[in-house]
Amino acid sequence: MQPLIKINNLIKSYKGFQLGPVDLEVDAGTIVGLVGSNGAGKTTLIKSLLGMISPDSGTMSMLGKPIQQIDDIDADLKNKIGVVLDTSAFTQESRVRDVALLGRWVFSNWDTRYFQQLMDRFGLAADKKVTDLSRGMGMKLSLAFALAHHPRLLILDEATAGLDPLARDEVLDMLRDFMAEGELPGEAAVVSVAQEPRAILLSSHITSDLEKIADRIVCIDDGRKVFEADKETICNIAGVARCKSDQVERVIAVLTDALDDPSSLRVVEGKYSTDLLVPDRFAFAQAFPEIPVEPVSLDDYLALTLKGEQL
Amino acid sequence: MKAMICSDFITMKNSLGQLLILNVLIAVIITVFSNSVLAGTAALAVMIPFMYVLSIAAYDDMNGWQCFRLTLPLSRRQVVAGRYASTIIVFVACALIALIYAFVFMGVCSLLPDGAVAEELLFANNPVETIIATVGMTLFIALVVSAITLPLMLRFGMTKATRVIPVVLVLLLAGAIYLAGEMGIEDQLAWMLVTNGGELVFFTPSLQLALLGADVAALVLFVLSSLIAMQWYAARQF
Repeated sequence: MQPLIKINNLIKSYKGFQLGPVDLEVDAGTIVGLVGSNGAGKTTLIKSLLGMISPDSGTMSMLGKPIQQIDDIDADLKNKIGVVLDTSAFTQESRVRDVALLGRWVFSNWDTRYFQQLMDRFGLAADKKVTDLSRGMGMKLSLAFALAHHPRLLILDEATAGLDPLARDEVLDMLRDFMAEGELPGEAAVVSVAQEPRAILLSSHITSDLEKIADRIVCIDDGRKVFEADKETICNIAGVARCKSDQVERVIAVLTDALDDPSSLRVVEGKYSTDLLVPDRFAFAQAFPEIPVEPVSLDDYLALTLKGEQL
Repeated sequence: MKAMICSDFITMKNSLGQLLILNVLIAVIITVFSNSVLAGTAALAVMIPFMYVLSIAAYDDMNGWQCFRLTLPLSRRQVVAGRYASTIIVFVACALIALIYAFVFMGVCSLLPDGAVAEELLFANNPVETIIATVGMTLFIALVVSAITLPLMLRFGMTKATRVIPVVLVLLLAGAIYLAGEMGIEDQLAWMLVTNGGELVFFTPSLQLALLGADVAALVLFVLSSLIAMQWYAARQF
């Protein structure tokens, strides 16, 4: 099946910063987490994809439709995409009912009943003003707006930033529901629009959220893609080995010979030990039973990858 | 385009109501204290349009709304066309409201006992064609100014446009004054003006005709302005 998002060799330059060349694919049925520090280029990538800025070069497509020009994302395509940016973008004076009215006017497949269900779930009254909403409530309103036209693709840019843990979990639950609704039934002969496989591109620097929900992680730093891996590979297979100083040289030599791609190894010298990021902690434990090796969180993986010395 | 018009009116719904109440009050104060129905009517016809153009552009810049709007099923051309359409709707509505205000105000004055209000506030001293011409003149001003400012606001955003617009307006005004002097425009327009015992009589039939022509020309300028704004907005990076 064709990926819902496909980006090849995307380049966008600003004075003092260049994004790319970057490749990215978001397959149907997957949640891709786009991670990186502030200013890494995540928002530039999303803005390029959404036609807010013109890339210098590269090709992009969404839901199989090529996007060459800013206005190539036509109404038909936008009706199949839900977007949440890093702020609740509705104008301050609007009320929740105005947001619903806007949705009814702009989206051809707007589902008023579903939007109302989401509002009831969040406890958002129709006459509540946007300016009176907390950040968490504002983001929930934005997410409900993005979901109420039953998109196939969700693009979220720092949608959970600034939310408390409970609100973040609630947002993640909504995203899980969104994906579940689009799951293909086993042997179904007819696939309805609502059952078309969906996908989410979720940009965030909150790695714990991505650990909970993403299937695949793409890390961008200083405008370049640093790594792309399945979350399972990172959190369940990779590990961090705590080597003593006299072990480091031997371990590195062995791993460099043994690994197909030793560039994924990272070394961080600590005060009492040297941490070594290894792609397969089980294989490492077998090869070096005397060296303790631990699972690595996405946060640590990110830190070791970005700050560690590449071999 | 309908969606964009709707979006603009949803955004401005509360503000427009407040602006209307506030500006009717201001119009009444101006009318009463200047003893001029025309002054109050003109103020009402021109103030809300200008406030609308400025406020809606300011809302665009708030909370990243105009970035987010680009993710809705609206093309950039539709955004611009919708903005111009909502603006002209407000202008025409305000012109009608100003006309209604003038007639209601004079109607109320005529119901009051003789001498309770100044003679200048009664129907006898404010012919219908004069009131219509006044509103036509304010419509002309609103159309011309917005035809100049709207493309700049859409191109640069409200924050940057506040620095650019005054410069552009001053340059255009200076240019217009220079050209008018060079072309001897006063002599060419003399046929429209009639004096009565040395005092200038406004809103003669000739001047009314000229005003109508000016409104049509301003409308053409407004449409041309929308085409320029579409080009500029299409190239804007957010």
